[in-house]
Amino acid sequence: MITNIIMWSVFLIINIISYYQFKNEMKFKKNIAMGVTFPKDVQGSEEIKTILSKYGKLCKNITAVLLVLSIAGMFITDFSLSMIMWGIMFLLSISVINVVYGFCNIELKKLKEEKGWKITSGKTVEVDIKAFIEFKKPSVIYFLIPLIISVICLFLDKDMWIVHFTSIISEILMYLGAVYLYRRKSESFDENTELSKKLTQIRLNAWNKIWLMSAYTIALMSIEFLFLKNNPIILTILTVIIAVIMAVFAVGTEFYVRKLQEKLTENSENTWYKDEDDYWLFGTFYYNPNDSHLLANNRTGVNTTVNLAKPMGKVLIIVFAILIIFCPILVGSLALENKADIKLQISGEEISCNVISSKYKVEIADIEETELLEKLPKGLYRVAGSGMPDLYSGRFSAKDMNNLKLIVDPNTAPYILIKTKENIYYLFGSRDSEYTEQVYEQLHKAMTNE
Amino acid sequence: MIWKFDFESETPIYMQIRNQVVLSVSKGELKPGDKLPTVRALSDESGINMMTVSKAYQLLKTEGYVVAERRSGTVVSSKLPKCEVSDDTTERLGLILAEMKISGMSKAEILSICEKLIEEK
Repeated sequence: MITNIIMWSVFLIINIISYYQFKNEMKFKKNIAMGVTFPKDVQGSEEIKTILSKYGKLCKNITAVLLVLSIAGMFITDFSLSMIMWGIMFLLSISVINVVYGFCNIELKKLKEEKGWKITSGKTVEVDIKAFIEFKKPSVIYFLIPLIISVICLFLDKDMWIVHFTSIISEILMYLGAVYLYRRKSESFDENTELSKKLTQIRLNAWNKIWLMSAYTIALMSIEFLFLKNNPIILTILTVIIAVIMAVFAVGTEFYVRKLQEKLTENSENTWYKDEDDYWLFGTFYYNPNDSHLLANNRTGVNTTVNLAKPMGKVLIIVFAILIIFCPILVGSLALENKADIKLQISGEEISCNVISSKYKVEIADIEETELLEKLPKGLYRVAGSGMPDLYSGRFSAKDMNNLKLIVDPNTAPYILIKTKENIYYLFGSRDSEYTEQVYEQLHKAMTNE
Repeated sequence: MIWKFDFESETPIYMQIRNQVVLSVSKGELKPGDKLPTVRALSDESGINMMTVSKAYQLLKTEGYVVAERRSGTVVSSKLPKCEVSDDTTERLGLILAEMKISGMSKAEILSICEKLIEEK
């Protein structure tokens, strides 16, 4: 139940953030609202306010529905059904508000064109040469510290080497991301050069901080795995807390930068201002065939996006879309596996146990000893695999059993414990207690005959 | 100092960059010794390919408008080239004036426009 609540509470967070991000987009920053640039003197016009108000209300109503659904999801008791609904909710949460944003963007662009407020053709680009700043790379030393922490954790805790090695790779990627995923373009929006420089520096600093904080968060997780791997509940709670802190920091930084962009640009008086609306499809997707770069900075906030006019940009967006669609499919398949049949059998000279994604076989001749357990081993924790309410499978570890591979229904004892001559442990258990006992008897006989 | 590039123009982009530098120098926006944006900076800012920007800077160096300094990068030359009026320049100017005359503009009007442009530039 607690796991279900945590899983569904993610949508409360996502939908609340999406709502506030939408509301934030309605405010003018750098002359831009909802992805559309308007000259200063018309930003307060009734037509614009009407459109913004209309979509603001729509967003509010949709968010309310999504929040209600998120809360309802917490009370789904069947794990498999909950996972399937979670997948659907995931798709809804990341797409619906963005669709509303897109419609608002279209309507505002149409208004702009009708009123003659459009100044650029989309085939020209204007740059303020004086607004360039020197883009300094973040210091690698700051990123080395979390890396060293994870390396130390790896040496001290070889059992969980997958976790610590992943942390090390992730920390390296955080540094590379900070350096190479940023488009070194100024935040110039009108002829106020000094303000443009200031905004550029604010954005760059925020960008570097987010990546650095991510690296330290990963190092923290390495530390918690080192000390708490035998306490899965505390480990889970702490992991969630760390993840929340990181998310709050990242989202907080994004909104802080947006706030500054709004405040610093609200009084600018411009005779010239930059209008790149034609390069942003629905205000969200950057498409500029005249831009030779793959990366582009989002118009407001801190984020980066890709240029869909570049072949690699198209590839990346397709991959991203596939991953998004794959996520609920993966979740759904996990849901199905949770209740899937566990095939435990002895055939010929081996005992095997398999479920949809895992299969283990042990030659009877390789077995040193075997035991029928009425309870799961003490100190059991997952190293790599799945630990769903009705299915544990993969690599685990337990007291005195570092190298343990299992496929069991944790709610259906008994379990067949096997120790091989190479000191590898296996734990098998079907969803039928009697059947598991029968297989154990068969195994015992087969071993005696050997 | 706003530079504008038109991707639909018949003038190649590298020439547009070159022309923008020349115009900026003539307007006094860029003075001798002033540093130009680096090739990468201008490329990142405008989206123009780095090779194209580099070609423009190379042309400016060849023409003598800029020099490459090891520490400062590309800077506006302190010895700007003296321009002799070439036959080509005379011919192009002659064509423009002919078009203006055909359109009905008087000599005074044409001279007024030229004066205004000279003052701006």
